[in-house]
Amino acid sequence: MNSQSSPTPRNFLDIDRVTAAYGETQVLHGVSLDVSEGEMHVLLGPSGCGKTTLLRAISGLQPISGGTMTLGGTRIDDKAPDKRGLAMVFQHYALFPNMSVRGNLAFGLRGKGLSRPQIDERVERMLHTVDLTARADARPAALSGGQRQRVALARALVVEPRLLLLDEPLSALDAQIRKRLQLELKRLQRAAGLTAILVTHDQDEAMRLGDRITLMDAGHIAQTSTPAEIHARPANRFVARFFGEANILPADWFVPGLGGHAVVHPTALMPAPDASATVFTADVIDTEHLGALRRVNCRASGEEIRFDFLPASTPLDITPGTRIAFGVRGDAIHYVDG
Amino acid sequence: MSRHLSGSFLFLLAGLFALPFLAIALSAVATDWSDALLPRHIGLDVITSVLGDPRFQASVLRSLAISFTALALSLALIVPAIVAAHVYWPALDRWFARLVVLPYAVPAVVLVVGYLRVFSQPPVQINGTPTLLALAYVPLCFPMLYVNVKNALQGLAVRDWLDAGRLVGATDERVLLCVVLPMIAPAIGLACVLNLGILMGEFVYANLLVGGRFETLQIYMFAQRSESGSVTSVIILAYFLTLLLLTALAIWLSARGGTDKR
Ligand SMILES: Nc1ncnc2c1ncn2[C@@H]1O[C@H](COP(=O)(O)OP(=O)(O)OP(=O)(O)O)[C@@H](O)[C@H]1O
Ligand SMILES: [Mg+2]
Repeated sequence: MNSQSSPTPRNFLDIDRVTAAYGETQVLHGVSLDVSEGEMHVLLGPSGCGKTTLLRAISGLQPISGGTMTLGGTRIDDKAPDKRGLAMVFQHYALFPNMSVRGNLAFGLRGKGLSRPQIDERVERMLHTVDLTARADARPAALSGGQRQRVALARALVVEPRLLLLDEPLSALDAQIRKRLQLELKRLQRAAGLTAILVTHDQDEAMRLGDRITLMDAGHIAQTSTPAEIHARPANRFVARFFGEANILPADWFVPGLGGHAVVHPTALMPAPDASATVFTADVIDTEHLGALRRVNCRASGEEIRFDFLPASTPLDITPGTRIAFGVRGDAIHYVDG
Repeated sequence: MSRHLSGSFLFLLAGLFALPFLAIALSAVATDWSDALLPRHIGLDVITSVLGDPRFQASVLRSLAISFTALALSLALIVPAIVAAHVYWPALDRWFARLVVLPYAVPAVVLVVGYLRVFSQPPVQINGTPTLLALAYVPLCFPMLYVNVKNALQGLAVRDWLDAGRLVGATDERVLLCVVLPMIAPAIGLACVLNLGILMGEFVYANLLVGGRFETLQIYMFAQRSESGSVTSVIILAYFLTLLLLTALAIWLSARGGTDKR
């Protein structure tokens, strides 16, 4: 589903060892990141790791204390926010409540040397793109959450930015509408060839939307990779922990004498057909239903083990207290240091 | 049943509160009310004679002029300060809240004596002038303005709006004028109406600072206290109706502010 497009030779956005602080508290510790043209780059990380701060630093709303940033080959870190050619969608939308949808869109176009008809034309076109023509004269308060989100997106896009920054744009919406807007957002971005950085808390959203994902940890970049890669080959234990529910087991269970840890996804475990394939045995604690999958929680030598299987194709009779012997294919194991 | 009961209780209470008002109204229109429970004759001559009295009209105009001057000055001084403190210096805001209630905390007489001292000698010798009264009224308007404007600001995403503006090259001033001001306008209006009510009814400052030299409505009313009861009643009635009107305006404004916010 996600394209494995290799980055173009020259990076469109180049962030090089950027640092930022609030007073004495350093929040970004030398962040380097590159984004190619037309890419949807997802920024993911635990709360407080500095995602919003990084977006604000890129936009110029947050001053940086070190490092450089270039966009499309020109330095932007010394430019005013409105001279950087980017737009931002705020987490709580920050729509102007006293203006109509149309007024919100037009606000950013005034004072840019455009004539009235030119402004109107661009606003109407954008309203059409996000399917809000019918609500153009409504105030934001009269719109649904999803519509407000689309207004926020339209207001950002109407200035025709070279880079779109989205700070948790969908987090205020309920799951149903969020799924739909994820699709819409992705289509819009693809169709317009937009370059975007999207911040999210939600790893499913990251996997679904991102061409590449950058995981941040306390002001550092933990890893930047494609969704498939970051899932299958996490760079370290933090990344492995963050992505879902991988089993992180002592490496010497699989390779005697090896230090560090082995990352094994719950679906990669196989009940061992015979003794020679057995790597370890575990006692079943309980089972849960995860939609089509069945999750089995077990314990082996003090480690919690999660094992998922498809009851539809692999009927297994597992009850609490059962002991299971597990095998793992060698290529399904990923080793990390530490 | 209990609904019924509480309903009639409310009516009773309202009637009780309305009684003095009705009596005043009655007294205002009574031409002969000496030896019976209710007046013998009623007529509008006292009302027309008071309302037509040039001295009454002049006092109303003076009060209005002083109140509006003070209100305009306090608006110009305090509203930008409240907004600026809220947006740019949140740390100072706590002190603001404490300072602004001082005119309520310090007894009026103490303040007035202080004013009389300060303004009795150069460089600013304005004792006894309406200018001094208007200036003394300015801080009286602060608490009401502060509370209302601050409340309105609290619910607004002002920082986000400023950020959104900066990204498209809109100055903070433009966002404050085009977005924040319209959003807090109902609150400002409400505070103005309430302040107007306070200032139109103010007597202590007016009496001590200007007295008979600049007869405001309240000073006029005080001077008329020895006239016939009817005259006093008419003045009180007129004052009361004006306040009622202002209150209705205030309620309407605050309701509008409430619907605008979400
Ligand atoms: N205005 C500020 N003043 C001081 N510290 C701040 C300020 N804003 C953020 N911080 C701190 O900087 C760190 C990073 O904040 P930031 O908002 O960038 O995190 P985030 O990754 O966006 O978190 P979340 O996922 O919760 O939005 C946090 O520890 C936060 O407490
Ligand atoms: Mg954030």
